[in-house]
Amino acid sequence: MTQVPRLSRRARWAVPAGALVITGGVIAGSLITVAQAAPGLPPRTAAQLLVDAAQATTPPLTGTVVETASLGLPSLPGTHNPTSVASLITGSHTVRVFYASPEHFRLQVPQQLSETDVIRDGSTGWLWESTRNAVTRFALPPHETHAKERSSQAGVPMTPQQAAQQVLAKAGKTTTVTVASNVSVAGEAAYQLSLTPKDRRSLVGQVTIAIDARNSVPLRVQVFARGASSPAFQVGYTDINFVAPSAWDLRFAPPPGAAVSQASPGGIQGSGKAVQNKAADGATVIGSGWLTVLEMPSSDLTGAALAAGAPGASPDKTGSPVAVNGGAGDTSEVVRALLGSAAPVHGRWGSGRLLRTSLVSVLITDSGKAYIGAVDPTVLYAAAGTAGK
Amino acid sequence: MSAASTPAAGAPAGPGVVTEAGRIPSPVRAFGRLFGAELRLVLLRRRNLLLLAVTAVFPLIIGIALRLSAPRPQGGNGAGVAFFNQLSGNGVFLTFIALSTLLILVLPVVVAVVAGDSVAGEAGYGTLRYLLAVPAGRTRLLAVKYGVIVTFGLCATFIVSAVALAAGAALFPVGPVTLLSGTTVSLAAGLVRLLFVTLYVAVAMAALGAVGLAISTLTEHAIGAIAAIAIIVVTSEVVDSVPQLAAVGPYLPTHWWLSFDSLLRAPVDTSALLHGLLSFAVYALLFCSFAWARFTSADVTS
Repeated sequence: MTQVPRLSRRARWAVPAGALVITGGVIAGSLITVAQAAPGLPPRTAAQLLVDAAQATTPPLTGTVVETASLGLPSLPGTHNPTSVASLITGSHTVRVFYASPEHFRLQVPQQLSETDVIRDGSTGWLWESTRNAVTRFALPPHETHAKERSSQAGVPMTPQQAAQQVLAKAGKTTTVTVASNVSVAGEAAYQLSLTPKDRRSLVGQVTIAIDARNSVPLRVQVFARGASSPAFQVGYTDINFVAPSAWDLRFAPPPGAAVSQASPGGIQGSGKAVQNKAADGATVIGSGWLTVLEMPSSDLTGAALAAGAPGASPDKTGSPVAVNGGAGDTSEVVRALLGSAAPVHGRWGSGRLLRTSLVSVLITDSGKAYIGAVDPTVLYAAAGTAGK
Repeated sequence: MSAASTPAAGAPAGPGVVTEAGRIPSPVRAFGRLFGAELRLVLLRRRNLLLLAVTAVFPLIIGIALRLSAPRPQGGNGAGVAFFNQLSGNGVFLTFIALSTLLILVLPVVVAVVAGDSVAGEAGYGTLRYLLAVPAGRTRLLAVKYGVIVTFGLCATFIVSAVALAAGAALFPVGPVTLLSGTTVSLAAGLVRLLFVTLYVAVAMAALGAVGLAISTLTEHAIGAIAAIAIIVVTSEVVDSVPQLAAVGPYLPTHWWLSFDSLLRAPVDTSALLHGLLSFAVYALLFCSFAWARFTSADVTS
């Protein structure tokens, strides 16, 4: 039997200290490599990247998409509920993607001890909400996306190369399109297209789109506020594998005991765009490009909040089938919190309240109009001035 | 002198140690004997038995309360209790409800009592120096103590699952299990997932036990160690629920506890599970090494 050399008392403490240092080092190292990796790829022009992206068909993949927004908003209520609108604009969202083809995919929004799923299995679409134990079934027309592609191509009979050139030429008036340094997104080497607004009055500093070098799949979109080094809004894969998901995971049958409701495809589009339509009712678009300002009666903002905030205003059965549970109530709280933090302003256009975030400005005039845009407040004032005359 | 019988620093070697070590052929068997004795001591202590009994009562109370409030079978019950809607159709879900509820405080406290008492209790009663006279070495004694904590946590977790499963089967219908993703699997497959969920929770409790063991080596007052562990758990849960501190969330000891829900998705979210298990392993390693450094270098006078 050998004698194991005894460690001195002080040397013994080196073991936990060493373990702590290694743990900290590994954590810090993983954070730094994520931030700095810039893979080497053959150079490509912006036009070539656009052509590749337009021509590529998304291969089967499984992955995780994370959406993060930090718009510099005041702290909002309801952000803890991952399905709420508030968490969309302040928090972080995770979606697990299982994609085989445009007609066969599953999107999972996992939350703690619950889950919301969107499944498309051929001509049937399903929405599953585990907290409500409810299934919504959609009958979908087949080849919907193909039809859309065909119609868009029929209108512009050109090669993708020409289309790319035209897009670039058109965008070139307002936007500087460049190829930024390559990045690694979810472990995939990717090219980066950078779109920079030429007008300094836009609050958007830069939009970057990471395009996978192998499959030309967009991997990440980042929106930077002017002068910001970290993105105000980001959506991208944190994990991606170009392998087909198992057919079993793409199938869905309403579980026994679940409440099943039907919705027509018109219903989906209607409810999907409900917010948009509602806003569009009394809304007008002022300006174009990056300086687009949306004008609407301010009652659309506050009124929607009040209506949604009324208890029992949208019970589960009568509400829109796609309305996310608890979303409506949170929206009203969010709008109220936002309006509460707006600062009073006045000028030649009149007076009102201004809400500024790093990426979006909202002006609510005392005359009952609301102006929203990713622009400097002066643009909103100008819009309010011209609209007032 | 064998490595096993090497007296730890600060404790003078008794004259009988060498001969004692010579008579024991297998250190494994010696470890097993010491472990068995310790486990019996802990499991049969009336206080700990009472703790396990209380732990077993909780799933019963939850099950009966949920049965009386009778969730409507067609859903629309709101999102107050996780899995609540599924429970009406399947008693198996009582296990998940019980585990996720008890994980907030009850299971951690049960583990904290045993872990906090493990070394500090002996020191407090003045029995630690007699225990160190056993020819086992402090390292091995600490390993035995930790093994007992892990076993006790495992017992408590499985008692919760077993009682909840029995109560769920008695109070609600039992059948194919609907996972969080809306996929329905057979009852057998559901029970396999339940087994893994229980094991995952037990691993989480084992990691907490390591934290408790480390704290227990710092004090002679068991109650102080127990309270400290409970405070750490609650603080970690509070910090984890503050959205502004989301960046530190994944590094908190309690952050991955409820990630057992990854096992209830289809397909299983292995990345979340592995993150959780990695976090538990790192916590266990860090705090076990801390406890070892402290316990083997400290002067024991009580």
